[in-house]
Amino acid sequence: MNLAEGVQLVSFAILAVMMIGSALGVVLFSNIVYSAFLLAGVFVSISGIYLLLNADFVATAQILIYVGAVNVLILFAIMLVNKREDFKPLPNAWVRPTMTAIVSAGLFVLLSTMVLVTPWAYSTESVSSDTTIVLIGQHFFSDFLLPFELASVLLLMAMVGAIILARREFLPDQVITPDKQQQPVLTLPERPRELVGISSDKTSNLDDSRRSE
Amino acid sequence: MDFANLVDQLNAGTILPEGIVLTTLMVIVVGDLIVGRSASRWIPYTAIAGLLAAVVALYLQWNNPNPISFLGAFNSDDLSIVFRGIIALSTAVTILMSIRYIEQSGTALAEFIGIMLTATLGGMFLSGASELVTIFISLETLSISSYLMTGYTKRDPRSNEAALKYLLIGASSTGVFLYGVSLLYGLSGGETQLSAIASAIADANLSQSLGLVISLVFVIAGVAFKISAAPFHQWTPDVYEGSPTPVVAFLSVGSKAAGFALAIRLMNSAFPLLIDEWQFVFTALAVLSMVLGNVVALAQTSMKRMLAYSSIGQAGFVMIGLIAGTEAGYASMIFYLLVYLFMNLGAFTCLILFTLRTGTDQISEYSGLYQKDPLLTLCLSICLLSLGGIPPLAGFFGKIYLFWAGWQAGQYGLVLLGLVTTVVSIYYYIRVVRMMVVKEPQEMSDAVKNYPEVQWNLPGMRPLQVGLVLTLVATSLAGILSNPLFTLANSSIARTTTLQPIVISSHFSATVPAENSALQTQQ
Amino acid sequence: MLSTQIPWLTTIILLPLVAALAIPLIPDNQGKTVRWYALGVGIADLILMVYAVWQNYDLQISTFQLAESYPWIPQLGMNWSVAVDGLSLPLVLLTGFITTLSILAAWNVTKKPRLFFALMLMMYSAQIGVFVAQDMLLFFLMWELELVPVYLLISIWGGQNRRYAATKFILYTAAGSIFILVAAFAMAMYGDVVTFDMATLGIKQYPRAFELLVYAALLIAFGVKLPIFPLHTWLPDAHSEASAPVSMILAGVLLKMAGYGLIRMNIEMLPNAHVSFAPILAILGVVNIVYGALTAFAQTNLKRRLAYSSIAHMGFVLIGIASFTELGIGGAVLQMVSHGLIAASLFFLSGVTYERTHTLIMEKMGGMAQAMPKVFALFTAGAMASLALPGMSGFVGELTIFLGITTSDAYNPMFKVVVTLLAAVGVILTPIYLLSMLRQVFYGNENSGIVIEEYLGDAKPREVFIAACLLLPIIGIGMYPKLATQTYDVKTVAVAAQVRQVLPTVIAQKQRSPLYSTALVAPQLAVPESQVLIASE
Repeated sequence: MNLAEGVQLVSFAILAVMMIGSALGVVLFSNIVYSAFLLAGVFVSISGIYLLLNADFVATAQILIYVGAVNVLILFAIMLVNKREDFKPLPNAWVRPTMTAIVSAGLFVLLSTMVLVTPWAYSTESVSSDTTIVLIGQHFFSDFLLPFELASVLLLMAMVGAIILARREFLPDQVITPDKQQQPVLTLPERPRELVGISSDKTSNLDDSRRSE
Repeated sequence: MDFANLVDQLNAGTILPEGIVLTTLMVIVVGDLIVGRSASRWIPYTAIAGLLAAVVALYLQWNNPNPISFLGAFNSDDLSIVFRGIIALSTAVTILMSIRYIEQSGTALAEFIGIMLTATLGGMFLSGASELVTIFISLETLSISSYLMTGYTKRDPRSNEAALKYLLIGASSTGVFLYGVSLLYGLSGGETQLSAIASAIADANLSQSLGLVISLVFVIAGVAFKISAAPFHQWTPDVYEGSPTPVVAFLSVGSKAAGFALAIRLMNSAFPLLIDEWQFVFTALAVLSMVLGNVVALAQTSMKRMLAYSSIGQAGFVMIGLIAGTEAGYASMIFYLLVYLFMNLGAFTCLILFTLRTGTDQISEYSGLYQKDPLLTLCLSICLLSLGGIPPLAGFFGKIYLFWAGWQAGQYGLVLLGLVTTVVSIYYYIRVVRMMVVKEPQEMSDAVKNYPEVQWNLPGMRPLQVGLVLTLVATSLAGILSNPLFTLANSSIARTTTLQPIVISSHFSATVPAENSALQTQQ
Repeated sequence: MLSTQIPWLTTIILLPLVAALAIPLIPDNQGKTVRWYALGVGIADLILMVYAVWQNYDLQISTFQLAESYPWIPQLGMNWSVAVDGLSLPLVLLTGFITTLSILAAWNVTKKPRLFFALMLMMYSAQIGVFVAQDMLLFFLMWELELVPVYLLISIWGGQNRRYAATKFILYTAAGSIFILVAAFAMAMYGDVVTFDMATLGIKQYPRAFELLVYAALLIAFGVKLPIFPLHTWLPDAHSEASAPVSMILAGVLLKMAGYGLIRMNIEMLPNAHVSFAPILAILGVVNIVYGALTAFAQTNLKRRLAYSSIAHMGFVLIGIASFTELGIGGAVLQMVSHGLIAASLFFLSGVTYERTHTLIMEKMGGMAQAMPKVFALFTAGAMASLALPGMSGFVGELTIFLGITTSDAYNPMFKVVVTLLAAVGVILTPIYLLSMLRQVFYGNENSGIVIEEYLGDAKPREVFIAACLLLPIIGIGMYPKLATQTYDVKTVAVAAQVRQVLPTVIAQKQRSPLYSTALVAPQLAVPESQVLIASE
């Protein structure tokens, strides 16, 4: 093992510990702001691992997009909503996490066995870090042209969808037409089923008023 | 690097139908932006015209001698053409039924149709995608548009719940699918083309490795989510109940057809070595879906939920064709999906019409409808009985063909189970028919008592009527005059090389050199 | 074979169906136009049938005539192939006759008349289709086609408990019919060529176990419909809850589809298995007769009693089918025809009674004979026919079957004696319950609690006409059986010969296989082989 390999190994260990640690933190912290910050840690560690794999462009993109945009957005959302909600403790609350832990552990064992026993077909050609962007570009405009273009449609529609969901609707006054068919805007025309126990909910008050028509 | 040569190699003409859909999408989005709200008068018809033009373009590409395009990313063989046609048609019919529904809910029509067209685009690309990245992106296009449409009535808590549930479960299933696909990439030494993957794995002698099996299981989990096969169906009832009904119609036909297209292509191209394994897994899924879907549907009180469970059961029936694995099996899947398109969309059209007039979808509220609206009763009865497989309606022939193919392939147990669950399904379908037809006038429900006068001249009602009559006629006659449909289904399978027994060798040699040379010319 | 240019059978099948689809188009006058229309279609189809047979059917030929075959769905191997032979012919004519009369019987239907007559006509088509289909898938299609119309006819126009009865009917029949499809698939896919053509399937040679399984599947399917004892429970509900015209068709035609299927498929296509199953069929027949008769006796509801008597009478058909003789199989066909006529007339008359009394509970009736002597006379005649009074068709049918089973050389004498004795017990029970029914309903003092619709009074000319139409052939066949037998004689002789031909080989195999003797609890077909060979020669 020469120096380079040693450094690589050590960096990998550090990054892995960082990633797993912060990922556990994301899941386990009850304060959602901590989780959001730790999520950034996960993303950064992942991009570190990309760097170790000579994927410099992906690493940069990871930091720019996930840490710089996605995570910041999440933080914004959390800070803006800023709603503390105290959940009632459930009886036998330990059952579900335990079950989940057992299933996840089983899955982990299975997958790691799979990784270890499978003789992977490694790609032997080494990629110099200068040409990755060039290679990616070539792929984008040759054999991955179709998915690349399709992704633009996907993004466009995601944007349109986000606007639709987020925009403030101009709600017309409903008193104007006392028509029996009138349904509240932006709801399903079907009446909800009468559910026992949720009648104190705000939503069904709305429906009660409709039903009384 | 020669530009003309590259264009030649791309063979981009094969995605002309998708191009038409995309252009329509752009016209609608931009047109709505420019003209404003009044655009909603012509937008749905533009969309339908675009979709029909796409179907015509598909028809013109039938039996294309050179179906591989985009350097192997897209395969426009006859199999994919049929599936793309099914998806485009289902969207066209869905748009017919959605105009009035969306307007009545006060939401924007243009955006809705835009999103629906995007979903269609995703589904169409998915049917022909023969490369992992394309598969993934088109799957995501389909899924994300579906999530958006599910939550479209955003002030309704049920819609919100449905969207969130669908998004979360969908995202995790996509994750699982992606994991499985990445294993394929790794096992084949960095191939993304399905046929290349199969041969690379065969060459590396990895056909029985644990990695491949796990990849298969994960990929099937992702596909099963799309076709809502039990036990990956948990989202279906809630999402169906909470989504706007046209969206449900699309999810149950278009999205499902895309899922089946993906299943056929993936299983045959990427996993030909594990044929016993995937047939076994799908057998389990089919058994669970048929039993669970049909039995739980018995207990439903809401039409949308009942149709949700029935669609799970129907997916189970269709899987018989996939498991049969013969040409007749695949052809029977296509035939069934073709007739399922009409009968299921017909049922949903009736559902929408009833909901719009009465504001409910409870089964008990349908009682006595025959007295007030015979046309709706007739159409819904025909569609439901067809779904139940009553002759001489289209569904009967579809089911017969599926069972025929299954029996021919030696899946006796599966066919028997299918027949038994069909009898169960007849019970719950006919329960609705009984509600509508049999009930005496004095047993009429409140909703039907207050049934508004049937008016077809309200805005948005004409398209509904057209959709109603269209599906009614198709459902009644597609069975009796089913010969062209049978021929279509059979010839699309017979001409599709990937489904022939000698998959790996011939297909591989045909496509991969082209790709390699393309890469070389660039460098 | 006589080939005709005109597709007679297709026209006969499709005419009522197309006419039914046109019903929404005709102008309605409180259902008055619709009923004339339906009756017209019924009569036209009947005339067409009789004319086609008169012109193009040769009674002396046992093979298929008036055959037509067009490929329908070649991908499935499904053909629209229809033909009649001696087996189908009497039943097709019976269908046309009874359905037309039942349309006339439904003259007073005022509730949703369009739907009613449309469904009746659809049923008409489906029944004829079942009897003439020569393709297993087509047969299955026609068999299923009749499900929904019957379901709706019972559940809309039936009695108190109609919805329960209708649901029970459709679930039983649908569940039973899947076995037809399974059997069709199994037989069609056996071997190299996939075909659903019945004649070809009959020629194919199947392994013994396979044949037995297929036979059992078909037996279950037809056993539900016929009905055979443990599978019969839907019938009393359906028949008693349905309105009179529908009961006429149910009892008069629908049950015969199963008897027809048993002869056409179980005997003709699977003769080897039939040899093994025949003793079981005979025993089931006896059980049907005795059980049906005893249970009928315990019924207080008029129509339920008639329904159970149907079960008893169909037991005779089973014995006839199991008899291995020309007489027995011919008797089975004759019994089907005769029971079709008798049951239709009895159900019709009970409907006539019900319209006047509004009850079917026999204890509540009594002394009706004074109020409506004509109904009484017709009812008595029908009951006499049903209890096999000599000179009526029921007698001829049952007698032929008795003769068939007793002269059968395939069974050992002990078995024949037991079967005949027990069946005879049923024959003795029949008069008891039918006569007690007549006594309870028509004799004695008028029950004070009963309200007779005075304005209806005695039977109207229309009702007398229907009953007379049914009684006429009953007496005609009773006096001169050749009237009916000539239509099917050559065919049943051929069928019997076909079964008898395989009898010795199957028995020879059986003796070698220990499995067979243990698997069957039924009495052995213990005839010395030499005798059988002589008999079959």
